[in-house]
Amino acid sequence: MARCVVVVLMHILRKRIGVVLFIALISTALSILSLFAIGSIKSLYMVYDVFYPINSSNRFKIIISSDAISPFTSIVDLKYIEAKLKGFEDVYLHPVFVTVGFVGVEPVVVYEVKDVNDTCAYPDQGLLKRTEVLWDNFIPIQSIFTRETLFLRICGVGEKPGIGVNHNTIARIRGVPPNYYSFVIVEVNSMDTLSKVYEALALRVDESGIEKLVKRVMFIAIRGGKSIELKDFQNPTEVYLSKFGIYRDYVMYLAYSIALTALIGLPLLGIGTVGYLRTDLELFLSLGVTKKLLIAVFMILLSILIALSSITSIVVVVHLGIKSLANFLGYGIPLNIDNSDVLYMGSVQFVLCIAGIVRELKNYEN
Amino acid sequence: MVFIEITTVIISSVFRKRAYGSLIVSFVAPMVLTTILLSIPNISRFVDIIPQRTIINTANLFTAQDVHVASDLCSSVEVAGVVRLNDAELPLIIASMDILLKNIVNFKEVAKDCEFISVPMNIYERYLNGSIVINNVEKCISHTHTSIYAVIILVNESVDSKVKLCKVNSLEILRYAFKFLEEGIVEASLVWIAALLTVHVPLMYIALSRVFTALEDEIEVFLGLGIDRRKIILGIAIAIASISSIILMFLISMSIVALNILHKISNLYWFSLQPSLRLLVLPIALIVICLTVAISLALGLRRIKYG
Repeated sequence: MARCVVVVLMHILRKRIGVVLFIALISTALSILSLFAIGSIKSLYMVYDVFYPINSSNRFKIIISSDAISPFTSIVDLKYIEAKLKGFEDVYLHPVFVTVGFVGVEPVVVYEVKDVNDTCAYPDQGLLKRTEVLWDNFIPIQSIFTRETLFLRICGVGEKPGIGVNHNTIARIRGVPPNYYSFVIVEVNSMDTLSKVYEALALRVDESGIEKLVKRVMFIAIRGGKSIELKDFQNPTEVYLSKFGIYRDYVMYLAYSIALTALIGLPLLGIGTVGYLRTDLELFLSLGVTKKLLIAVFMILLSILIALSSITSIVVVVHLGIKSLANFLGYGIPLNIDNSDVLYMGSVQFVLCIAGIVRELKNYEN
Repeated sequence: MVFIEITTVIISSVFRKRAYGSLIVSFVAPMVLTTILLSIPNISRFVDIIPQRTIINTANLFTAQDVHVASDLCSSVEVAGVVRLNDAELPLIIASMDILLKNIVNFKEVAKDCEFISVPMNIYERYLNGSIVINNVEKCISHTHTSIYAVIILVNESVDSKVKLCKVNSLEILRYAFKFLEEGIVEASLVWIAALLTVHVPLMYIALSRVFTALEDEIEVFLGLGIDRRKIILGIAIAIASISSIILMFLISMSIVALNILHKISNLYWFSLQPSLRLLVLPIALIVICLTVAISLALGLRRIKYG
């Protein structure tokens, strides 16, 4: 039995390597396309994550934001939070300020850089190229919150996408006093302090609730000194998108259904494979090889091929640094692909291909 | 007309033998996904829903590349250099008097007989307080504009430059930004669809060769009757083209209907934008039909032989 499988497999690999390569090529191309689709749509759920400097330390984290639809429009008063959390030890506050401005008609992210001059701006490479020549080392940033257009001197190249300016300038673009920030990340070392912090912020969370939330990011929206919303999310972008009625599940369904639809033609690949190997298969069948054995041979062949093509596609997609094609505020969002996606797509490909092969083999007589 | 006879016979036997199944399978992925991806909502139309009171009229600075934001209220300006006022550095902008005066910045008082320099209001208050000397231009200094942080010199002759200073409704900018986003998504989808279509060409070949296998008996009969080989090939190609156009139309319309139903249902529960189909679906469908015809001609030439 096993000997038979090896003989048939070796025959196919030796004499019909073209067919094998054909399957590998098509399945690699399709899995690259489907992974790309999944990654692009899922990266929608990470658009704002670049702006949240959440390091992977083991502290408990709480993000305090206002009840806004994006981090660019949110503002919180740092003084207020500092006053609330006064006297606690081991509580670390990281205020972050990001907003949007317009350069010409292009919306651009404006973020905070520490220890730089008031009139300095640090645009990213792409933006620098577009504006440098026209404006003679100045960059005009128009605020959408106030009526101002600020001309800032280009003092260097920024690391992040967008324009880096100092705190006073960004507060001016946002039109708020300097003690305001977009959101504040509160980091706490121990569980006890965490519950005290909740108390201080007037949040009611029972003990079991806190335990469940360990190591996840908490998100608090405050309005007028009152906290109105307390949510735990895997990442901050979710909070803002959920205000538009776009929930994580729907985005996932969309991503996977598009990827699956892209693969729906694959039974034809199985049918085609059997068609090309027709004379060989007929020969084997006439020699007394059973159909089940042929199906087993195809299963082995396909599992090897699809494993190889999945590895190739993930290497192509991840390591060649393909960005999601749609730009958001001038920067490419990295594709968001899990290893499990590759596994899912690979197994779907396998099942569809085998279905085609089984269907076509039915037409042959033993 | 033997030709029409062949076509009708082929069409009816394709339907009788249910040979269209593999054709549908090979068309589903490219056509359905094209229709879905090219019907993303018009995000730029979303701007019209935003209430008018949230919009501020602002003087905005554009470059020549941004000509699509056409506004009458634009004038060319030139960035001539840098002005140092104590610790502040401001760009020196030269603009022609007549256009700029009327439209861009609301100057309170302008003396027409001299070159006019305007310094932003708060800079003026902070550093100058009534006295300024820039490159020997000593007269006609004012602190008239607040919104643009630059020192503006108005001259009588017209300025020819790539840089434009415009007064534009913020709504216009927002719409442009959304349009930009939308175009980006559509372009990205087109690239993806093109790749998907390329991958599906071999699959279409397989599907069509299955159709040819199903039609083997008919072809043999035609050849036995002594009908010209070229006529048979062309007849089959036309039959396949008409069947695949019916399938394509069916797939496109089904996806459109499904999308609209989905939109209506989702509107009951939360906010959703109306899907709007781009006309680009049609050329893509035509490309698919052309590919089908080309492949079936190639297959016919290979498979249909005398004897």
